[in-house]
Amino acid sequence: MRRALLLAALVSAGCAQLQMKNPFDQAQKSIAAATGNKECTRAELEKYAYSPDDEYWFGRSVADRLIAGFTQQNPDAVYPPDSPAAVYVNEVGQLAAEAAERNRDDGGGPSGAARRFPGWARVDDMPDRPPPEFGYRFILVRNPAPGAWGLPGGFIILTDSLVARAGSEDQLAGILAHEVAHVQRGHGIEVIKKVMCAQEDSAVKEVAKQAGDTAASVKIVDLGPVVESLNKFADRLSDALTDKGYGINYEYEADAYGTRYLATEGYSAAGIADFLHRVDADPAFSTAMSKSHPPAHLRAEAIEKQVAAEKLEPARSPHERERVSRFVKAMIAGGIRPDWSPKTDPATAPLVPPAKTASAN
Amino acid sequence: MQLWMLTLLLLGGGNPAVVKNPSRVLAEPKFWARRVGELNRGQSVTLLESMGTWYRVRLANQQVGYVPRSAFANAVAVPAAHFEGAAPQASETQAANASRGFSKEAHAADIGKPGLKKADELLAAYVAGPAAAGLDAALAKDMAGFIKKGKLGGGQP
Repeated sequence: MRRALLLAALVSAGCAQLQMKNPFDQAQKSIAAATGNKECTRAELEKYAYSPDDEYWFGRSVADRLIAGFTQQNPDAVYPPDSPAAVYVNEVGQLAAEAAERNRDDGGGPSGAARRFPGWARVDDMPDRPPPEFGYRFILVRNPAPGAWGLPGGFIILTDSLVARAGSEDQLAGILAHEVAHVQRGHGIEVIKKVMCAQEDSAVKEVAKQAGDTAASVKIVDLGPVVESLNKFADRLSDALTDKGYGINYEYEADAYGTRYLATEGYSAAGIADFLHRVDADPAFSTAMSKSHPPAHLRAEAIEKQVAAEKLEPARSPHERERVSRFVKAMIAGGIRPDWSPKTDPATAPLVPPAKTASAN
Repeated sequence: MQLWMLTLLLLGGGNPAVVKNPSRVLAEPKFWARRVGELNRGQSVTLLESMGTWYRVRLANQQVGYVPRSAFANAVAVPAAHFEGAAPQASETQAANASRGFSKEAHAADIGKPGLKKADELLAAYVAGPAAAGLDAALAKDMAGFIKKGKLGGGQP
């Protein structure tokens, strides 16, 4: 099954390369697989509505599960929020979140309103999600496998080994902007809507029944079914994310929107693409991402075409060298050693020589 | 019954009722339907139609939607299937939560699973930590200047 999914992912990514004009045209293979290949119409999906409050508590439950997975491996996995590395990641992440807000598009789809950016392709014609009820949180964890997850409700979890692979603040901002885009575009909520619609199974029906059932004799109304439902779907999303991610097309969309957020803040619009070039030949990155993301070089190519087509900030924006320097200093202060070892293509080597970094450590 | 209430009912205007458990008002008589409003305890609505376990209601602002009957229930019991032994009485809060969807209370019960409580405590430190206020305006300005000019406020890159 997993092999079939991977194959589907690769086929889909290959199509994206051939038809780069609209990489979102491909079917959502991994979601289709998760939903038993039943595809619901938009009207059917919209029966499953989530308020920002639902989204926050749901996202928090999923975040709990991911963190529990990390702390099982290492009880000290979570960086304290006031540690230098966590504070720095949060600062850059909050800028990305601010940029996302400035690019908010509440139009399209069921909103009935006109799109603010009609030229920006969307996988689903859905308005951006409302801002997270309690803002964004960037949670840094120690783990040798590079990874990041943008969850409903504004919870963004990323590993220090992913951060260490960035070559500059622009690239770190790119990683964070990509995750913020997953949240603002509502990818987690969409996946759950699709799964719920396709698999409206007995537990969900039970919730519905009990929530409405107050027959005079036995007034069966309690928190149990709601908790079961939260439990079940948080389990399902956290499993799906660690195994298959949000799906190929949502990853391309998060790249495209994240790139726009970067450009809005004045970072290099090539931040995500530069990062992807750096890690394309990195076996640890490829292993971690192969099941959930298109190959890094295909993503980078798509972004570069977008940067040219949308006339975004040139690949090397002014003062990037200073931002590399600040990134390195922050990493050293935070106890994260930048991982610029072997695999990097010389053509995209970091602006600061790795040898200098190693000695600074 | 007051004459005006009788008149309303005879004219098909519905039956007034007072909400006993806070609830959401939904676009359809389905648990996951779109939310169109909220009802608080003590609020008055007009019951337009009884539909099995749901009521079609009209709110004071003339909005029409669907509310589970639990919104008007006096007392509730927890189904025995969820407990060993006798089913304890559920509180009104629990009853209300059942029609509110995912919530703080549902999350509190969810993290009863092994390992999740500790994980949520670690997460709570981030929720309440330095990021809680979002990006400080002065820092945002400073960082924007840094991105564009290569220098922080103090002149140090």
